[in-house]
Amino acid sequence: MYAAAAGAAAGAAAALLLFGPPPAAARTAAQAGPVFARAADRAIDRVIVPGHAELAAATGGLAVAMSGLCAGPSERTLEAARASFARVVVAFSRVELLRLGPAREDDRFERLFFWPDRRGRGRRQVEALIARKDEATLEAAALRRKSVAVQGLLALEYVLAGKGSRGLAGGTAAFRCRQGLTIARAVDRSARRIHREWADPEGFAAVMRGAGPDNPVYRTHGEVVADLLGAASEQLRIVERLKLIRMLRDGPETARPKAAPFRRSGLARASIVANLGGVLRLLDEAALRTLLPASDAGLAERIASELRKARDDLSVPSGAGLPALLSDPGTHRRFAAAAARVGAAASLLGEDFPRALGLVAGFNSLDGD
Amino acid sequence: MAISRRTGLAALAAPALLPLAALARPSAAPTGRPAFVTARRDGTGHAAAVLDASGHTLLTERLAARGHGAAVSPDGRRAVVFARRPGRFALVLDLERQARIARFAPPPGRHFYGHGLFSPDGRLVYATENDYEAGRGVLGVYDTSAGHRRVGELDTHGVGPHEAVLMRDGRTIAVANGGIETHPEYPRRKLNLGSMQPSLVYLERTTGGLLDRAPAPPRLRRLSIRHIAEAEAGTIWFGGRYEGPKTDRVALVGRHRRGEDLGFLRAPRTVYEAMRGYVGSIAASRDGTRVAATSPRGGRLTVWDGRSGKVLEMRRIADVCGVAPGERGFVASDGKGRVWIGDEAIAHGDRARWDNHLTAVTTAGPAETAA
Repeated sequence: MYAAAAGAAAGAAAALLLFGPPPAAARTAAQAGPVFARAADRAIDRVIVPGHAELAAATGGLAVAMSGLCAGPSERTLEAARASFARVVVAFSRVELLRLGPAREDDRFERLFFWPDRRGRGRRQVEALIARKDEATLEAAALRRKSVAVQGLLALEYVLAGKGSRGLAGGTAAFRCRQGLTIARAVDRSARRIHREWADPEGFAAVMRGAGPDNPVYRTHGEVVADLLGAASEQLRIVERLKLIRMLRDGPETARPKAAPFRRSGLARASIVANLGGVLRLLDEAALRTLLPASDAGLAERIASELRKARDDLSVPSGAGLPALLSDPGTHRRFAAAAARVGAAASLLGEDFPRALGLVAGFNSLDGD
Repeated sequence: MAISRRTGLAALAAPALLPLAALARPSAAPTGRPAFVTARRDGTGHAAAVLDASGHTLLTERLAARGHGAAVSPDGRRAVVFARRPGRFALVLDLERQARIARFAPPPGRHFYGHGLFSPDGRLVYATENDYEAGRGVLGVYDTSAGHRRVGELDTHGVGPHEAVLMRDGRTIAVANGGIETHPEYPRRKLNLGSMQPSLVYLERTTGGLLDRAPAPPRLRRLSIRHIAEAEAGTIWFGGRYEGPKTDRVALVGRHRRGEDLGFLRAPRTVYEAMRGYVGSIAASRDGTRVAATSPRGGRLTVWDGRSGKVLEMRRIADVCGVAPGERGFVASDGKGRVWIGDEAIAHGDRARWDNHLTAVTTAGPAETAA
């Protein structure tokens, strides 16, 4: 476990050196293949499928809670719906890095999470839906034909926590509630489909497991590992640059708490912390550290350490809202330090780690234009 | 046509892969005239570079950041190297004197996308740009006779214009609207994957009037049309980057004539599979009878017949991307610092890595030997 004390982690690493597979650098290509294949298996079986199962369970619960709220509007049912929503946001944020495979089919990822939404399209369009009270948009099929910006978590967040959401408890916002229920069901549908396809033994997971010369996507299991490392590192860059730095800017005076996703529901920090948790989970549960050659054995622990510290920096103090936190110079500094740690981890994971495994893509293939 | 994995198109016979060429040899002393303009990364940073016909470096000029495409004036005397998106510099090189002569930048609220073209008289430069607050594509127009002042702007009628070329009629600009919205505040994030609408458009050069617009069909909505070249007069070839699921099998190369729908080319299954969803550069031979498309991800250079639309050749070159017509065939460059003239590679030292594009220096003159 990455949460374990440093001593324990070092002990585990030593044990691996004694009893585990030989380091990647010492392996021939033929030996490295099965090692990467097992890492891909672990990533699928211990991280990707369970992570999406957790998300689908949470979205199922959210649809039930929304249904309960609409049937019996009260403070209690509104709280239950919001608590359910929070569980979904955390579960989603843990798998947000997996923008591949089933999440890319049918615009599912964008349907779940349309962000960054530069022009506030989601908010404007959901506001318009609620204001128009058009019964047609309560139909799942009709909603699917609308912009992806009104079908996902941020649209539902606006229903549950945006302007006018108090009416949900008092029963004065019946249409808003039903629109929210339709969105919750759409979210549930996307989450369930992503999970089902990941869990399908003949689905995208099989494409990953079956890497080889005739595989249309992955020629080697090394490419699968490279894809996962790339996805995790990309998520860290998104957290660093798009979520933290854009929100923090130069200092407390210029900070923009509104720049973070899920700030309306007060879940912005929880979501970012869960993003980091998702990367830690991949490193840990897929045991990516065991792929490293002895000369780079400390790399995984350095990444994990940066991420754990960043998570700690972002987690305290609890309770206070983002505007108050960001206007405090001390907290602002701590959050900025967290952003720097996340950036450092992104570089280690996206550049040093693949290099240590001999999985570096060419200059032009890496980031073509 | 699009090849969906669901339609299960039968695999056609794969063309033979040519064997890897002889080992790269070190660069000899340059002797020739400017033949190609490109960009590179090397031990000390980024640079624009001018090569002679045999692939030797004649000139390198430091860039503040990564460069991308280049435009060459019709008389072959000047070149403009553009910043890679979302960069804001354009460097003007005098190819005769082999020196930098000017630089210019887009106005506030715009950044370059990395490609551009000269007007037939060489006076104006058109650059693909992002009007990012509005989320719309434009061509910025710069007057080289007036200190590269920006004298106008044409709407590209689409989002994310990437490559634009002047067609042989001298009156029409073809623009590949990649369809992907980006904003410098969100570095290199794709902001509208759920609602992309790529298109190929034709603009009247002097007025900016929209002559034709060919959108990607709905099932290929996620195929970003990015690189184009005119082969036969009036026929634009395009190469795309697919933003949809990696398991989808889609055609990445196609061609178009005004008034028609976009035509996607059939190819043996292995050809598109080998391209790994991305064509990085496309070029037509000097006589327009052949077209080359590169895929750095797949490490493939493919050559297509301009008339029949069939694949003639597929070669393996790791991390290949730049491609341009040469005297005797296509010349290609790769991320390992090699310039390929046919099967022979010239290696460049000093950790040079050739960036995405290679642009031929040609002059409008008597018809030249077919590539």
